[in-house]
Amino acid sequence: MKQNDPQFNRFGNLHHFLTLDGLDKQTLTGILDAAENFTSVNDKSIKNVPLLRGKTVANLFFENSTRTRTAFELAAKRLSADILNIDLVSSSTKKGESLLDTLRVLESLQCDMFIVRHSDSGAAHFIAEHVAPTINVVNGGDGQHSHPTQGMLDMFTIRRHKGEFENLRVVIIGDIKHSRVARSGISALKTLGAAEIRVVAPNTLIPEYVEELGVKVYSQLEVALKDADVIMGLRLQNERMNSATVPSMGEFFRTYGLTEDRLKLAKPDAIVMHPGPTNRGVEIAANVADGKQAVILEQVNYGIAVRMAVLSITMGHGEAVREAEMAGTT
Amino acid sequence: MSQATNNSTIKGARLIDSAANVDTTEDIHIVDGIISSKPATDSQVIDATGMVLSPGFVDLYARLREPGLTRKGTLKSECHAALAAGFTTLLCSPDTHPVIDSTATVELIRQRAQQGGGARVIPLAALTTELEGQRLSEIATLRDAGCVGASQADQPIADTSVLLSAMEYAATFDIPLLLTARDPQIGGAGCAHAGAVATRLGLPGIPAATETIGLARLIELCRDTGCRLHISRLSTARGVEQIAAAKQAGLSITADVGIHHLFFTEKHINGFDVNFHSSVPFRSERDRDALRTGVTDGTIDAICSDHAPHDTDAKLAPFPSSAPGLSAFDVFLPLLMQLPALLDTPLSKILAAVSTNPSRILASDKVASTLAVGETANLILFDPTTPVQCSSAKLLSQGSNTPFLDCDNADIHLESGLPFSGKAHTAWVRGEPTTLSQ
Amino acid sequence: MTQWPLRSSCKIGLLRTETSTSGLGRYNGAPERSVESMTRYNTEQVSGWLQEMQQSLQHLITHSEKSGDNDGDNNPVAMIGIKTGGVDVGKHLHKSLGLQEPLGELNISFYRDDFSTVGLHPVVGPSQVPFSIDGRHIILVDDVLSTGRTVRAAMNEIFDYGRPSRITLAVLIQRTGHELPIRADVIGQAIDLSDNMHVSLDASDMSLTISEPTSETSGDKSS
Repeated sequence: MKQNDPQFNRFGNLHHFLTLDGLDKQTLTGILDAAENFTSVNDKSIKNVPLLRGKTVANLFFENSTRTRTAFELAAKRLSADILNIDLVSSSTKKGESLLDTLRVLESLQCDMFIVRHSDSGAAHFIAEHVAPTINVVNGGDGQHSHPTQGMLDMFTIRRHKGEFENLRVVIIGDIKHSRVARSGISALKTLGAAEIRVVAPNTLIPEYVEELGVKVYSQLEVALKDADVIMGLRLQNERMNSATVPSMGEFFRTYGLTEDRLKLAKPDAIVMHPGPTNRGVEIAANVADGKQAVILEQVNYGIAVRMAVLSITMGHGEAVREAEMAGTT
Repeated sequence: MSQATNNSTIKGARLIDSAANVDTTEDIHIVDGIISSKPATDSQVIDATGMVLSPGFVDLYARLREPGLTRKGTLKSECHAALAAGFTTLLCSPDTHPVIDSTATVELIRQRAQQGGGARVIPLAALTTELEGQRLSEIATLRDAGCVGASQADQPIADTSVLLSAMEYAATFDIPLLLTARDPQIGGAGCAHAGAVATRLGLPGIPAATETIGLARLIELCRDTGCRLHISRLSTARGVEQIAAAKQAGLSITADVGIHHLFFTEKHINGFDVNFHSSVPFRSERDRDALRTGVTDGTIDAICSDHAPHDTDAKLAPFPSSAPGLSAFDVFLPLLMQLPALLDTPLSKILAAVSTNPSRILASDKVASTLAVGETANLILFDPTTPVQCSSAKLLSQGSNTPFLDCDNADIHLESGLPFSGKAHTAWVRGEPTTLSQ
Repeated sequence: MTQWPLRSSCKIGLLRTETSTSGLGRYNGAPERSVESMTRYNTEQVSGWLQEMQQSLQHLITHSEKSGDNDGDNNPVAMIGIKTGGVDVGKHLHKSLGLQEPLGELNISFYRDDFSTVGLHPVVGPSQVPFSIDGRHIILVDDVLSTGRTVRAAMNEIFDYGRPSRITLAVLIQRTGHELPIRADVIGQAIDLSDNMHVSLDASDMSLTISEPTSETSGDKSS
């Protein structure tokens, strides 16, 4: 597996972080454990640690996202790295400059890591394949494919509340079809051994052959929520509403909105998650989003520790690799 | 590359011409460009023991990129690459820049192709101007200028009333239409078969329904208009069934499949390999198996190259943004040579699918494909057992966008366990020999 | 909120490396090694050293409180152990000294100076300093003092929590190999050892083993 996985270098180190699909349980658990250590960083009066001092991390966002960019920025700063925010949404790539040309320019700025967000599925893989071998690539979300740090922070939140994954029944509600968050979540939950993963949405938001990812498809929210331990909402993008996909926000909320009454169908200690930003009154009722079962703000908070773990694990073997290569060992 | 004398004696080759029911090993002669039973006095002898001599292949769908896209390929480069793949005649898809919707463009292509040499090029006319699907092009004039049929390339006509009148109009002049079955809307934004792999990779999908609905539309209009319809580049199991039923109903419908579609499935795009990004997507294993069966039982009449050479930059992009299409000529013959064993079908039947059948479909004397004595030699002599390695140094096509490029073991993609072999020795185009063995 | 028990075996960039800096096995399941020579100190011997340390520390604490360095009641002396061996030693000292504040625990892996060469170290759980550092006398405890780099990292981390009035360093074993100007204030036992000798403390019975690996060191890559 590792030999063919572009995320690993030839020494078996996790060099890029592109997708959770294909990472084994031990790797995922290792990331969660490392993240656990970084949670204490916030306890200190000086909140950063000198781990990545002197390293330069570039946020390459080809797609707008203030939240994810900020979370990565804060994680990098807490690790004492220098961070460059490069807004590519409105600049060169629109002017016909190829993605690869943009990368070459950034490479010449001696960056150590690229955090990439792009609207094309597979963009992070593409960039990882074409950057200089010393540069680490972390996927900040590619098209509808993967959002691995979001997936890991979701797992971290679940583990904090539920401990083991083995007996968990997880329900994912909403736009599975276009959601990279759902894909990363499903992949990690499968690997970590969740007992059952249910997806529930109108058929227009369920992708073909989704069962092959190891989930059960439900069309009725009330049925899907029964005995759930974890409920994950997804953001319904504005462009999907009032379209051929979903007739209206009102109807979506009536049929798939997470309300207090529906939440009662789940286990009493079920947690409610959402990657944010929430559309209150569309995917989730305001009193559920603010309710005591909601862990939405915790997710945001854990996102920093999880990203610190990912950044330091992927960057934490660069010199060793270079030295080993110079020494000619394999 | 041309030889000193045009007169040759081909000794010991296996002659296969399924249209004439010929599969025999005997000597054959070419005198003054004509297939002959007797040698000329100055005939150059070719020892062709173990080789196969077939009517030259006819490609029903290839993109040659000139005019307009010469960074991807030129008539010269692609026609020479085609020859080494066994094609002596190519139908050039109309999606050039400018589109082949005027006699001036046809003339330009004819001249450039003649200067460049290699396989003979016969343009396909754009069925509508600019391929925009709104106004008919002058297909009768274009036919007279040398086009053997009309096509919409990768752009289906969105307006069904335009499609209906296009088919009526083509039927008037008995001009064959070579159309790809595709619904103009479904899967329009997709880049991969809407199946388990696209779902896992988050790639926008192209549902099989785009072909089946597109095909249903074409079949019904064909029934109404009586036009000669050839379905280009079939990709689904259901599509094969539809073709079989239409043929059963006595419609004048034929169909072909791209060679790569007989080998690849959606699984090949795992890891976002842009080399498997094809405009007609690689679908499920079930679909591929149905396409294979379609070839063996004759539902699918022909195999085309679907050749799509690209410049390097076009493929240097994330999967959805990379240009679709595979360069096929440099690997066509070794792929084709796997089919007899893979499909458990005689070689003569496979060769018919690339030579006599396409010629029959077009029913044009421009693309005659035969070994008959007295005919102009359009022939291909090849050794089916010579191993092939597709190395960048030896590429003939300008497009290096093939998964087999510099691949030590072609079987990692094919998983057939069969040798990757088949190399052209000599091609005759309109009586002129070209030696390809070097 | 439940604190999830941490797992210690990790692959992927977390190297299962023990360097001379870390001295003792810092996590469970230290790799087995073939051993040429081995010296054992039993529980009784180690207890003796701990007792001596406790006496010295008690003296220091009393002195420090008398001298007015510390506001004995409002801001009493606190102890911090460096994970994991320092915490094991710290637990014994903390108990015998009867300190008021709970034992602090430092995971110094984010402050190490060898991150760029060996990567993130095995996960040993987060730092926990459940008291204010500012103006306090801190007893920093580790199992082995060798190069001084671990202590340097620990002090950096302590200063990110606040400004202590004083830091006293107590170590069970002081071995040779100083690379930084750092010396312990309280030492259980000084032992002369060559660089390749390995010291390991068994926390279950507080016995100590000093061994010399034959050939392969433990600095191999994760399996």
